[in-house]
Amino acid sequence: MSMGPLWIIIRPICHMLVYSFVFGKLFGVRSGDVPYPVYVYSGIILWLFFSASVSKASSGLVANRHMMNKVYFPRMVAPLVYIGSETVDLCASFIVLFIMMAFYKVTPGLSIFALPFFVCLVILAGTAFGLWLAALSVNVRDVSIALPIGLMAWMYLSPVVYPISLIPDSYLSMYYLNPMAVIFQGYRWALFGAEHPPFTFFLGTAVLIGIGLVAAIYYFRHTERTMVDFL
Amino acid sequence: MSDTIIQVDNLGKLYYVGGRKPRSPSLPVRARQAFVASRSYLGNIRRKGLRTYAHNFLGLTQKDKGNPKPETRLWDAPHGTFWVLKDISFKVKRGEVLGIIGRNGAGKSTLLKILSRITQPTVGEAVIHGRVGSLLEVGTGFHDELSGRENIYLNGTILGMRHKEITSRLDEIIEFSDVGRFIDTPVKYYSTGMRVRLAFSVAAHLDPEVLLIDEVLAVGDMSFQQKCLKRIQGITSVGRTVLLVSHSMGAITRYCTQCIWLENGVVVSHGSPEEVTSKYAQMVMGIQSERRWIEDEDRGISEEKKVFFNDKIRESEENDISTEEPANGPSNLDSLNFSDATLLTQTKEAAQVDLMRQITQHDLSQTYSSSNEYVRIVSARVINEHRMSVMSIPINCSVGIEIVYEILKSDKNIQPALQFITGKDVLAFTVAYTDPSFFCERFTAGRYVTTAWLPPNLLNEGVMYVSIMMVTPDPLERHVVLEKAISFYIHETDDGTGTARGLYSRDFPGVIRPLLRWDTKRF
Repeated sequence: MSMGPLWIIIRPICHMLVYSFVFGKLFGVRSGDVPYPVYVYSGIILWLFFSASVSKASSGLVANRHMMNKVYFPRMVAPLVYIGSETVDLCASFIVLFIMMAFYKVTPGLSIFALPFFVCLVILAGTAFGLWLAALSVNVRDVSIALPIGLMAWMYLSPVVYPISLIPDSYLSMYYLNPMAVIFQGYRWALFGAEHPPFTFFLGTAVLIGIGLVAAIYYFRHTERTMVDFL
Repeated sequence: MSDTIIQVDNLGKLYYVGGRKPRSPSLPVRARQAFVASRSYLGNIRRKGLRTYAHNFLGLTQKDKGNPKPETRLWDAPHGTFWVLKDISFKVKRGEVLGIIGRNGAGKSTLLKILSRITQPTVGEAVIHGRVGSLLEVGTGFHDELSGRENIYLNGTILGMRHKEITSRLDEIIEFSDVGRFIDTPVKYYSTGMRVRLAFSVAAHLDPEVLLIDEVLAVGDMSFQQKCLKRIQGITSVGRTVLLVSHSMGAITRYCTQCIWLENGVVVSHGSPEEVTSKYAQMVMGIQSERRWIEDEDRGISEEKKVFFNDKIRESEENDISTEEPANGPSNLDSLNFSDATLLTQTKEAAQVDLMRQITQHDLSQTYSSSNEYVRIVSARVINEHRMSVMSIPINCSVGIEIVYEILKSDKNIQPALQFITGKDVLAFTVAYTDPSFFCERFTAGRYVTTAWLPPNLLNEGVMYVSIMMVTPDPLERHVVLEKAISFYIHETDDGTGTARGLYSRDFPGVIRPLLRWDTKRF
C-alpha cells in the first residue's frame, strides 16, 4: 500500500499545517492581507524545492556511484535529475497553491507575471549550489551531514515562514545580503503584491546566481574527469 | 576517415595508494596554478572558438582527451601513488576483436574504464571514434524496483540508445536474454544469471561501434555463453569492434584477432591471440618441459632401497633369499647402478630399523602415480635435435619426448605410450611404442631411456601437453598414467619460412599444421 505521487502534495500541506499551527496560532504571526496558511504554504513549497534539490543533487554522485563506476554518461546528469524531478513536484505544488489562493480569495495583481522569473532564479540557485556541493562531496564527505543544518539555518534567515515585516528595519540591509531573502521577497511580491526590495537587488541576485552557476559548472567539470576514482 | 577505431597513446593512470589524494598544495601555490590554468583556458576559447568550447564545457562532445601528452615522462610514481597503467599504446581497427588478458590487478578493468570514459587517464590519451557500449559488470545500471522490461529501457538509455530504437528491438532483446515470462518481474527478484543475461542482451543489441566487455560472460551458463560469443562474432562481422577482457583463453583465441597481455599495468605482450595466450599460459599455467619424479641422489637411494627391500620381503616370504638372489638379483642391481656391496649390506642392516618407514613409503608408492610394482617413471623432458632440454621449439623442428623409466619386474611386456593434448584441451593424438629395436622384445628389469621423435611441421602453434603412460599392450593394462606430465610450446619460425604458413599472416586454426606436398600444373 502506498500513496505514491500523492505525497508530492501531502508533504507541503503537512508542513503548512504545522507552521500554521505553531506560527499562525501559537505565535500569532500575521502576514498582512494574506491569510497565514496561504502565505506559509507559498513559501514552504519553494523552500522545500530548493532544499530538496540541493540536498539530493549534492548526494547524487555518491548515491549513483555504482552506476558511475560501470557506465559512462555525462556526470552532470546524476545531480541534475534530482533537480528535474523536484521541479515536477514544484509544479504540482503550485497547482495546490493556486487552488488555495482561489479558496481564500487572494487575487494576485499584474506582478504575477514576474513569478516565473523568481521561480527560475530559485531553480538556478538550487542547480548551482547542488552541483557545487555534489562535486565537493566527492572529496569532502562531510557535506551530506553538514548540509541539513545549514539549510535549516538558511530557511530561518529567509522570509519563508514569516513575513519580512518581522525583521527590524536596521537589520534589513544586512538581511538582504542573503540572496534567498531577496528572491523570496520578490516571489511574495509577485504572488501577493507585498512590499519588495529595490529592483536592482533582483538584478544583482540574478547576476550573482549566474556567476555562481558558471563557477559551479566549471568546478564540476574540473572534478568530473577523475571523480569516479574517489567516489 | 581512417580505419582505426581505437587509438591509445602512451596512456598512464596513476592511483593513490590510500584511494585519496594526499594533502593539496598550499594556497599560494594553488592560486598560481589557477592563474596559469585560467590563462590557458582563455587561450583555448580563443583557439577553438566559443561554440566548440561550450560543447566541451557541457560534455556534449564525443571525443574525449586526457591531459596533453608530456614530451618526456618519467614513469616513476611519486610517493604514495602507483601506476595502475603505464605507457600503454595500441590501435584497434574497425571490425577487430581485441582480447585483453592478465592476472587480477593487472589493470585490465581500469583500461576499459578509461576507454569507456568512466575515468580519465592521468597521462596520454585514448581516442575512440564512434559510439561505445560497455558492459563492465553484472547488471550495469539496473534499477532493482523496476521490471526487466523497464530496465531494458533504462539501461538502453544509459548506454545511449534512443527510446524508439529500444522499442524496435525490444522483442529481440527479451528473446535473447532468455528471461522469458519474468520480463515484467522487478529485477530485484532476478537471479544473478538472469541479470547478466538481460544486461548483456541490452548491450549486445545496442549496436555500438565499439563494445567493451569485461569478463561478464563468465556468469551465464554454457549455452548462453555460446550465444554471446556468436553474437560477438555477428557484431564484428558487420564491422563493429569489440574489446574483450577474459580469463578464458579459449574464448580469446577463438574470437579475437589480436591480444594484449597486461601485467602490473604494462603491456607484456601484444600480438596474435595464439601467440600471446600461449606466452601467458606458459607463465601463468607454468609450462614444464622437464620433470623428475624420482631423485637420484639421496632420496633416490632410499627409493631404490625400498624397491630392493620390497623384493627382499617378497623373496623372504618365499623363503628363498640366498638361492634365488644370484640368479635374478645381480642383473637387476647392475641396471639400477646399485651393485655396491657395502651399500647392499648396509641396506640389510638398516632393514629392521627402517621397517616402519619402509612400509609407509611403500603405502605411499601405491598412490604415487608415477610408479607401480612393475614400472616407475624417473623423469621426462622435451628435447630438441641436439638432445638439449627446450621449453619452446620452432614449428619446423623435430621435438623429442625423452622418458627415463625403470622396469621393476621382467614378467610383463611394458611399453611407453604418449598422448598429445593441445592448450585448448583437445586430444591431438595418441602414440604407441613402435621402436623396432625393442618392439617385439620384452623389457627386462632395468632402467631405460626412450625418446619419441615428433617430425617437423606436425603440430600447430601453441601449448602442447604430453601425457605419459606405461602400458602392457595386450591385454591392455595401464601401469602408470601421468596426465599432462610435461608440456612445451610450439612457435612459428622467425621468418615464417619452411613451415606450412605460406603467405598468410593470421592464425591457423586446427590441431595440426602439416607441410603438404603441393602439385600444380597449368593446362
